[in-house]
Amino acid sequence: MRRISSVSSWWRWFIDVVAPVSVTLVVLIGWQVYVWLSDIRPEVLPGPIRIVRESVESAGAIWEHALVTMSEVGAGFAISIVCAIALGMLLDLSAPIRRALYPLIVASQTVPIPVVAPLMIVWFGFGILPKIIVIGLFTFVPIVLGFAAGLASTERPTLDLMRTLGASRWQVYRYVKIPAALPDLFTGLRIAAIYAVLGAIFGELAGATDGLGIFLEQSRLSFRTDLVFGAIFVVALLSYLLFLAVVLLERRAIPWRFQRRET
Amino acid sequence: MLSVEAVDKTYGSGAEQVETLRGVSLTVRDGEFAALVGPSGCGKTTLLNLIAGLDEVDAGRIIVDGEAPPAAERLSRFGYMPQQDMLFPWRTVLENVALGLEIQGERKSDAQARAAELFPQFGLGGFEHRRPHELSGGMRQRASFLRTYLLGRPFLLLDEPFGALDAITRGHLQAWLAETWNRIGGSALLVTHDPHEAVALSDRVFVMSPRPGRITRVLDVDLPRPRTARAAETEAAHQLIDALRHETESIEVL
Repeated sequence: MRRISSVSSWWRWFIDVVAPVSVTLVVLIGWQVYVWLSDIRPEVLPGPIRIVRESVESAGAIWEHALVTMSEVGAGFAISIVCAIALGMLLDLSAPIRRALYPLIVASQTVPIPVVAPLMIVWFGFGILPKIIVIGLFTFVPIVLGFAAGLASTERPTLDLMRTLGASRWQVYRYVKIPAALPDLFTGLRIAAIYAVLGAIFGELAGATDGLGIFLEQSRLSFRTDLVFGAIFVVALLSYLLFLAVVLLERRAIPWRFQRRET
Repeated sequence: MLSVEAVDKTYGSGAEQVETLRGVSLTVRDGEFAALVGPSGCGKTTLLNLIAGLDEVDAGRIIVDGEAPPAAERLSRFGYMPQQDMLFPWRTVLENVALGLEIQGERKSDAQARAAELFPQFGLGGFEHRRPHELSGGMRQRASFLRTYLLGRPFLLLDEPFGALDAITRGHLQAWLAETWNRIGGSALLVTHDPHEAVALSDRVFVMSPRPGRITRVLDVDLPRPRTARAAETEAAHQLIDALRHETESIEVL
C-alpha cells in the first residue's frame, strides 16, 4: 500500500513542479517578447529581464527595507496570533461574550484599512505600533474565527464522555477541545500568513520612513516601475515564505492529521 | 444496587416537545449484568444518560446503593462506555486508555503503567504506542472498554458498544466480553437493539417500547455462569432469543 507506482509518482512530480514552473515561464517569456516587440516605455511596463537586472542592482536597498518590513511582520503577526487565540478561547467559554463580540469581529474585517491606516498614524504616531495594529486588522479575524470554530467542533457525545471521566472545564479544553481545534486554527493561520506582509505594507504607506511599502512608494513616485515590480516580487516571496513556515509548523504540531488511514 | 423509579423525561418545549420516557422503572442488582432492548429511538440511550448523570430526570428517582444522588454526583458513580470509541487521534492508544486515570489526578506515568498492565488481557498487547486509526474497529472498542474499566467503578453503563461494528466482529466481541466479564465481575446495564447480544451477555433483559419509552417486559436469562463464548448457542438460549425477537418485533409493528 505504501509503495506508489512509478507512473503516478512521475505524474505527481509533473503536477507539483513541472506544471507551475512551465506556466510561469510561458507568462514571463510572453511578457518579455511583448515588451521587445511593442517597444513600450519601461516606465509604463518594464520587461522581466530589466526588472531582475535593476532589482539586483538595488538589492542592498531592498534588503534594508525588507528587514524593517519583516520585523514589523514578525511582531505584528505574533501579537495578532496571541490575541486571536485568547479571544477565540473567550468566545468559546462564554455565549454572551460570543454574541456581543461576533458582529464586531466580522465587521472589523470589512474596514477599508488603507483609509483607516493614516488615522492610526494620527492616533499612535510613526513608530511600529500602528503597523502592528494594521497587520492585526489584516490577520486577526481568520485566526479567531478558525480557532473558535475548531473549539466548537467537539461534539456533545465527546463532551459527555469527558464529563463521565470526571474532567473539569479546563481539562476538557486541555485534553480535547484545544487539540481538536488545531486543524481549524492552522487553516486560519495559513490565510492570515498570506495577508500579514500586505498589512505591513499598508501600515508603512500610511506613514513611515523605512520598509518595503516606502520603497514601493518612492520607486513609483520616481517612475522606477522596474523596482516597483521587483519590490512586489519580494513582498510576494516574503508572504509565501511565511505561509510555508505556517504549513511546516502545522505538520509538526498536528502529525495525526497527516497520517491517513490506509483502509 | 441501581433502582430507576417512575422516571419521566421530556425534551424541548411547545410544539417541539418530545416525551422520551414515561414512568420507566427497573432494578439492577449487585453483580448482575442487565440489558435494555428496544427499537431505535425508544429512549434507551436517554435512560442510560440519565442514570450516568449526564442529564437530570423530570420526575421519578434514580437510586444508587440506597441513596438518590443528583446528576452531578452520579457522574462519578458509573463507568460509562459510549457507542463510538472516541479514541482521540492526537493520543496513542495507551495515552487514550489512561486518559480517565490522568483526569482523576493520577500521575501520567503511573496511569500509563497501570493501563499497560492490562493491555495483553484486553487483546491489545503490542499496540500501546500506535495511533487509534491503526487499530481495527474491534480493537478500538476494546480499548474504549479498557478506558472505562480502568476507572474502577463497580457499575458499568454500556451504550450499544458494538453497534457500529460489522456482524462478525460484533460476534467476536460479544464472546470476548462474556468471558472477560467472568473475570472482572461487577454490575452492568447494556443498551442494545440486538436480542442475541442481550441474551449472550446478560442475566436479565428489559424490553422497552417505542417513544415514549416504557418497560414492557422483563425477561430472566437463566443461562449458567460463568458464560462461555458459546453460551448463546444452546437450545435454551435460542428459545430466549426467539422470544425476545418476537417481543421487540411485535413492538415495532405497533
